[in-house]
Parts: sequence; structure tokens; C-alpha cells
Amino acid sequence: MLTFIIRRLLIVIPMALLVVTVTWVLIRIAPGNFYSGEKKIPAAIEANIRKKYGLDQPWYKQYGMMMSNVIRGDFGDSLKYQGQSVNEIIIRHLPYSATIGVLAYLLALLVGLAAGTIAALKQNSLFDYGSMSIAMLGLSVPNFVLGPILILIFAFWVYVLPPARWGGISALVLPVITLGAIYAAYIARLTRAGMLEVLRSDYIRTARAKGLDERTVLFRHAFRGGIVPVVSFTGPALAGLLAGTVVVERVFAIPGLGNIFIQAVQNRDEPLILGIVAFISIMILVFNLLVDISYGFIDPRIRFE
Amino acid sequence: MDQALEDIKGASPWSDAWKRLLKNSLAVFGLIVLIVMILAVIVGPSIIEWTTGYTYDLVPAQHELVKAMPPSISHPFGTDDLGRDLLARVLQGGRISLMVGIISTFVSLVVGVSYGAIAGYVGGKMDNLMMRIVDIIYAIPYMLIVIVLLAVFGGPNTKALVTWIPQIVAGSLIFILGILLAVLIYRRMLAGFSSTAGLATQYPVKGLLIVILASALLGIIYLSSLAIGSTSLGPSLADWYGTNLSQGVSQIFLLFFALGLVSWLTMARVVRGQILSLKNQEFVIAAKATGVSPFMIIFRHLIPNALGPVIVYATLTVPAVMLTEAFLSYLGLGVQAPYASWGSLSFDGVKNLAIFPWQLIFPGVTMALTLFSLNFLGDGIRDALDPQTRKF
Amino acid sequence: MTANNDAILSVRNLKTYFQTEDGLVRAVDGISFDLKKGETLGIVGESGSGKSVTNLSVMRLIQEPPGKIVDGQIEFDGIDILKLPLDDVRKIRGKRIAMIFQDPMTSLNPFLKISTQLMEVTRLHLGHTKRQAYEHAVRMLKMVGISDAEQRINNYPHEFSGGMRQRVMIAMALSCDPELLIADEPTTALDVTIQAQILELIKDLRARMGTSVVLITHDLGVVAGMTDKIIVMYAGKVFEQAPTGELFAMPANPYTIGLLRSVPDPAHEDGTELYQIPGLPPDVAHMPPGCPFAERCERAEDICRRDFPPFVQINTEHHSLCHFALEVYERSQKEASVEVSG
Repeated sequence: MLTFIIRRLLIVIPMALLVVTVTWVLIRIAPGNFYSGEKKIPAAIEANIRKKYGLDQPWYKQYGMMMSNVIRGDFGDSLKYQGQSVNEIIIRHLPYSATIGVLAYLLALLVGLAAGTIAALKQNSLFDYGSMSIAMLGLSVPNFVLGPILILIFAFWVYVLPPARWGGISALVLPVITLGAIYAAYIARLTRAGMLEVLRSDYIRTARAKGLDERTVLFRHAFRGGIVPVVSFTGPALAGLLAGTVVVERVFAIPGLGNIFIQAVQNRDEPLILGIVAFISIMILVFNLLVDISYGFIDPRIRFE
Repeated sequence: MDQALEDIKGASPWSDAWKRLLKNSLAVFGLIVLIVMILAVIVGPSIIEWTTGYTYDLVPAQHELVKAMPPSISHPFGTDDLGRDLLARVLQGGRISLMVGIISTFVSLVVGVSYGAIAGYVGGKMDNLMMRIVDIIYAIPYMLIVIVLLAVFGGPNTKALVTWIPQIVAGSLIFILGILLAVLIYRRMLAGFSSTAGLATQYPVKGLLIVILASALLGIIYLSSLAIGSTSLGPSLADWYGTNLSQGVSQIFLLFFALGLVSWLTMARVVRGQILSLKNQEFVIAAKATGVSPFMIIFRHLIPNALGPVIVYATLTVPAVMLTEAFLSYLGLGVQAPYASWGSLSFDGVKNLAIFPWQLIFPGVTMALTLFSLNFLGDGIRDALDPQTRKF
Repeated sequence: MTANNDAILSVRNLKTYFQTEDGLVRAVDGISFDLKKGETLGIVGESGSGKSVTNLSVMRLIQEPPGKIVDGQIEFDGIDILKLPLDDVRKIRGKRIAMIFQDPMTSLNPFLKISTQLMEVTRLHLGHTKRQAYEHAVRMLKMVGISDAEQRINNYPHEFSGGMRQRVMIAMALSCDPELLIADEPTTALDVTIQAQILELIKDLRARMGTSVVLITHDLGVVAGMTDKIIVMYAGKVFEQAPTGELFAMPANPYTIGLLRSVPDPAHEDGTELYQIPGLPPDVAHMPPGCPFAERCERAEDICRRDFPPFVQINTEHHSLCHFALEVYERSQKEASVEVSG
């Protein structure tokens, strides 16, 4: 178990470096750079700046410098926000994204597990059809359509919630719902399918034959097997959630990491792009590891080699 | 008795599945909506142009410029900020959105099915290696890379990327050849080890010869592609591409590339799993025993039998890819003006949300309806092909 | 027929139907039988004949929908199970009637330790404390022949072999000392050598605890040495019902004869090909009007395809569902006497 974790953690670092390398190559082989945008800078000044950032060196030296910085966890200063280190910027903007992301996934888990379980228990009932149709709708309405429509209804027509920006719990409601909806839908469908399969299985029949009441059958015997698909979905969900925050932050004008990343990409702010990419890669890889470990707790048949 | 046997024979799995699909009212609803949507998207823009003169980008001169008009008889979906007919734009956007969905899915099908089938059939170390590669690509937060890719190569920079096409083609060719070569060597080695007499004589000479020849071939292909790419083909291709295709279209091809890059992974896994479970079944062993070649076994026996899950997954990939495209276009990274997709139309609509809500609602709802239908159809196909999951 | 007083289980005219896409399936269609205290009843039939559904109906374990017990009466120790509220049925399940299932690989919950699964029964029905339940569970495991029970109890099902798992299932079923044990193909999924051990175990425990047993199987060899009485089922109906010895010696139904002939008999090993009943069981959703076995029957005449056969009483304990029951019975009687004399 411990060796498994250590081995997997050792893979995380080269993987993150690989992602950073791919990103760096993409930025470098494309024509243009940070200085080719907006206003023209006098050639002499540009040369000076290039020297300062080591851009006058051959590419392999630049790559080496970049890598050694990344390995030390130092991404340098942002090009756009002069005098601010990339790490500072990430730490400053992360809480916004993290809050929305975590709340959205918790909401999705709560709604999805409950709806999926009830739908499975009352298969072919009105609740089953109703909740699964809503789930299908949730899968089909993109969050950048859902968000604005929610704003339209709750902020412009009925004035109950603020349309955008940060501040207070009420401002969190719409972004969290917008981001979480599609995952709630996914989880509800996965839970229903998983539960249906488990509820049909022989060991549930055994549990019933023992005289256990339905609640014990459900929570002690069926639930664990039923949520295995949900657990395996957590990895992809996290990656999707990160992409989702980009849109949601944009729709609701929240200064989160996603918004900063899009700006950085558009500005060709290389250190900031690399910093965010490395940070998010490591986060996703570590979360995937956590998901794999949690399998072991759910299903005793899984062994860690 | 004979009658009963006839009946059993008559119901092929596919016609059976088709019957089950038609019984599923939601799937039929999805199918109908989808057919109507595809027809509308194909002929709609032409009809509008013919009757009113409006196109997705053009306000005909004889008409007065009516900016941001609410829905009316002459403009069922209203007009946008520039006075363009929103219905024409939504239909044009649908063309692009559906095209992106279908083409990218097709790309993922071709790549994923071949990759997965080879990995599953060859098995052993080769399979392990190929699947590890998939695992590694899988773990990469691809959305970030796609965003970077589209942002740095989007717009005027697309031309630069086109210069690379010869190298990219050569690279993928070498990749495929490399895999085949590895398979070949692996087989050789197995053959060499299985017969002790052959180990000393046959394997080193023949095997080495094959390796040398193949590497020489790979090298020649790569060098020639480099030469062609750097001298004439690449830049001239880029010029042709830049002058003949407008900006918006080239961005769409970049989208295919970016989306195809990521969606074949799951397909490869699905196919491999299927092939693994199929290849030890009696009919495959029987085919092997009668001397059918591996190629024929894969393409005639294995892939057709693994088709069910592949079709199901492909149907569900289309809406997923469309959603990703819309998401990227919404961020301004996908389809560029004057072209539109449902994503970029939604983005335009959001800007004027409070005043002209229909500008968001029409493209948004059209897209949601299409995705809804695709999802229902995909679910229906899955239930029809896999009777075990049928609602009993 | 009235319910017998010394019967522990008495089933009358049970009908369990399933609503499927292909139409109504009459999985069990008017079954009646009695089981006396301490007796063992064998239910034999091909797969799909309704033998498992009969016993799931007794436990009220039919999934509803698609299944439904549409008619009949199931009396267990004088209680009409079908009229009982579900909460009271639960008090009987696992305590007074216990069940062992076919596949020990899938019948135990793979996510829970054996101890949890064993202990929850006695804690529920006997009100054991955790400690009592644990000790009882260890005792039960030892009784079914798991030697290092103290260690094994903390294992998960996947750490046991198939035969061991079935032992655990039996321990679980017997932990509340039930009055009736229903064993649904308990040995089908096991190796032949393990099969004999498990059957021996059930026999031994039945003798020790005085439990009545219903043994469901498709294997006539299994019931021969275990049961007092046998019911032969086909297409949801009882085709023949008789004491074990009589059924084997003097079957009165062509289907039973077919079944008996398709058992490999080492005593008559003379190179003759093993008999096989021709054709397939009928499509239960689209039953023919006459005898369901007519299409495969050697003795069938026009009447068999036209009219449903009567349930003929041959003697007090022997019944057969056939138009020619008496004729068939007489013929096998003759054959039996020839065999004895010859």
C-alpha cells in the first residue's frame, strides 16, 4: 500500500514536468510572444528585457533554465503583472476557484447520490422517469447557457440573488449550481445504473433472505458496490470541474484561477501559464491517486501491487 | 419445431436491436429531432437566403438595418447587434457544431478502434506498453493544453501550424510503422524462442535484418518529410491554406485536431477491453486454427463483434465533443467571426443578456435540444444493443 | 385438498407470473405440495421450469415488478405467508426459513467481511450482542467444517474457495436454527468432489438439527440419496410427484422417464449412447394450448397437443400430469418387475 502510494507519487512529478514541457513547446513554436501584442516597445528596451528573462539564450538553455526553476517550484514573475511572482498570483486567486469547485462537487454528490439511489429503488416510477429526464437535461444544457439563464431569472426578473461578482453566500449560490448541475446529472445516472446492477445481484437477494429490512439492505449491502462507478468518475469529474470553473468564473465575473489562466494565455504571459499548468496538473494527478487509493477502501478485492 | 428454429434464426441481433430501439419512445424522439435538425441545418440557410436574402453574415441591401430586433414573423429568432438574422446564424452555427461533433468522433473512432484492437489482439508486453501510453496521455489535463494550443495557434498563427503538416503526417506515419515494427519483432522473438533450434539460426539473422531495413525505411521517410517540409511543401501548403481558406474555417480545422487529440483515448480503452474478452472465445480460436491471418481475424471477427459498445460510445462522444467545442468557442478560442457556432452565438447572446435575452435563448435552447436528443438516442442504442441492461 | 396439520410447509395452487417484454410469463402456474416436519423434498426440473421461482415465492423474494404472485396460498407452520405484512415476513426470513443459493461466488457480499455477514443475522433475529454474535458465528463456522474459524471469520468472501464459501453460506443459513431450509441448487457451481462434501454436510446437519429441507436441483443424482419425496417440474407445472423410491422405480410421466434416461448410469455401461430429450423447453411466454411437453414427448398423440392433461392420482402419494399417466405407470411397473426378476 505504502509502496504503491510512493511509486505513484514518483510518477506524478515527471508527468507534471511532461505537461509543462508540452505547454512550453507549444508556446515557443508559435510565432509571436508577449511583446508582439498591444503596443510596440522600442527595440532597445525589448532587447534589455529579453536579456533579463534569458530570452537571448539558445532554446535548450532556456528550456534548462525553465525546468530547473519549475523543479524548484519557482516560476518567476509574471510578465503582465510586473513585480508579482506567479506563486503569489496563484495563491491569491486559487481560493475563489477552490470554493466554487468544492461546493459544486459536494452539491453534485448530495443531489446525484440521493436522486440516483431513489430512482434505482423505485425503478420505472414517476420519480425515476422525472429525475432521470431532469438529469438528461442537465447533461444537455451547457453551463454557459444555464448560468446566464439562472442570472436572468433570479437576478433580473426576480431580484433574489446577485447576478455576478464575489461577496457573501448569496453570491455563491448561482455559480455553484451552474457548475455543479452537470455533475449532479452524471452522478445521478451513474448511481442509478450502479445501484440497479447491485440491487439485482445475488448477494442482495441473500441479504433480503436473511430478513434484513430494506434500509439495512440498502445502506450496508448495496451502497458500497453501487457507488463504485461514482468513485471512478471523480477523476474525470475533477478535470472537467476545472474546465467548468473557467466558464463559470467568466459568466459570473469571479476573479478565480480559470479567469486568470485565460487572460494569461491571451497575453502570452509565459511564466504564469506554466505556473498554472504545473499547479493544476499536479493537483489532478494527486486527486487521481487519491481516487485509486479510495477504491481499495471500498472494494476489498482490489490489491495494491 | 422447425418453425421455432426458423424464428430463432430470423431474428438477427441487429434487427432485434433496431426493433427494441423503435419501442423506446425517448430514443425515437431523439432520432426524429436529430433528423429534423440535420435537415434544417443543411437546407435552412439556403431557404432563408432565397426567400429573404439574409445569410449568416449578410444583411441584404434592400432591407432596412434592424439591430437587435425581437422575434417576429420576418425574423423568427430576431436579429443580432449588427442586424443579422439570428435564425440564419443559428442554422449556420448548427452546421459547424454538428460537423465538429461528427468529424471529431469519426477521427476518434478510426484512431481509437485501430489502436485498441491492435493492443488487445497482440496482448502481452506490447499491450501493456500501448495502454501505459494511453494512461499517461489520459492523466494530462488536456483542457489546459487545448486552450493553450488554440490560443497560441489560433487566429493569424494557424498558418504557421499548417507549415508543420508534412512533419505531423510523417510523424504519425512513423508512429504507426514503429508500432507495427515492434509487433513484428515481438512475434519474431516469440517464434524464435518457441523452437529451440530456430533460436540460434533463424532469429538473430532474420530479426536483425528486419530491424535494420525497417529503421532505414523510417529514417528515409522522416528525412524526406523534413526536406519537403522545410523547402517547399510546408510553406506552400500554408500559403494555399491561408489564401484559399478564410480565417474562421482554418480555426475549425484546428478544432478538429484538438478535439480528435483527446477523444480517441476512451475509445481505445473500450475497444481493447472488448477485444481482450473476445479473443479467447471459441470462434476466434477456431478461426486461428483454420489459418486465418491476424489482420482478417481482427477486422472480420473481432471488430464486428466489439461493435456494440463502440457504437454506443461513439453516439455519446458526439454530444460530448459538441459541448467541448461550444465551450471553447464560448471562450473565444474556437470558431472565429464571421462564422458562428452555437457556442460563440451563446457568448454573443450573454453580452446582451439583460436587454435582448432571445439572443442567448435561441442558440442555447437549440443546442440543448440537439444534445438532449443525441444523449437520449445514445442511451436508447445502448439499451437496445445490451438487452441485459433493459428495464425489466 | 386441505392443509395438512403436521405439514411445516403447504403450498396450494401457487401462481407466480412475470410481465416481460415478450409478454406474460407464467413461471409458476398452479403448484401444490406439502412438506412434513423433518422431511426432505426434492424439486427437480430443467432450468426455467420454475423451481427457483417457487421457492423465492415462499420467501416472498419475487422482485415486484416484473414478478407477481397472482394466486395461491403458502402456509408455513399454519401462517399464511402471502397474507402477512412484509415486516412480519422479514421476521420469518433467515430465522424460521433460511435459504442457500446456487452460486456461492456471488451470493456473499464481496464488500463485507464474513463476520459482518454472519453476525448481522443473529443480532437481528436472536437479539445477540456483538460479542455473543461473534462467538456464535465462530461456532457456526466450526460446525460447517471450517477449521481455523477464529482467523477465517475476519476474511472477505474472495479469500475463500468456492466450497468454503458455500460452507459459510450454510453456516449463515443455519445460524438461527431454522425450521425450514431451502437449498436452491447448492452444489451446481461446485466441483464434483466438493459437491459430495456439501451434500454430506447438509444431510448431517439436517439429521442433527431436525430441519426440514427443500432441495432444488436439476440433477437427479443429487436428490436420489437425499430426499423423501420428489416433485418434477416442467414449464411452471408439477409434472410428477411421488416418494423418492417410487419415482425412480416406477415413474408415471414420460418427462420423468426422459430425465431418468438422460442420467449416465454406470451400472448399465454397455456403450449405448446417453439418451437426450429431443427439442427445447417451450417458450414460456407463448405456451401451446395442450400439454407443454407434447412437442418433445415420445408418447404424444393428438389429444396432447389439443387438451391440457389432467393431474392423475395414481396412489395416495403419487400424482402425474399426463393424459396417459396410468398407462405409463403400468409399463414402468412391468419393466421394474422384469428388472427385479431378471
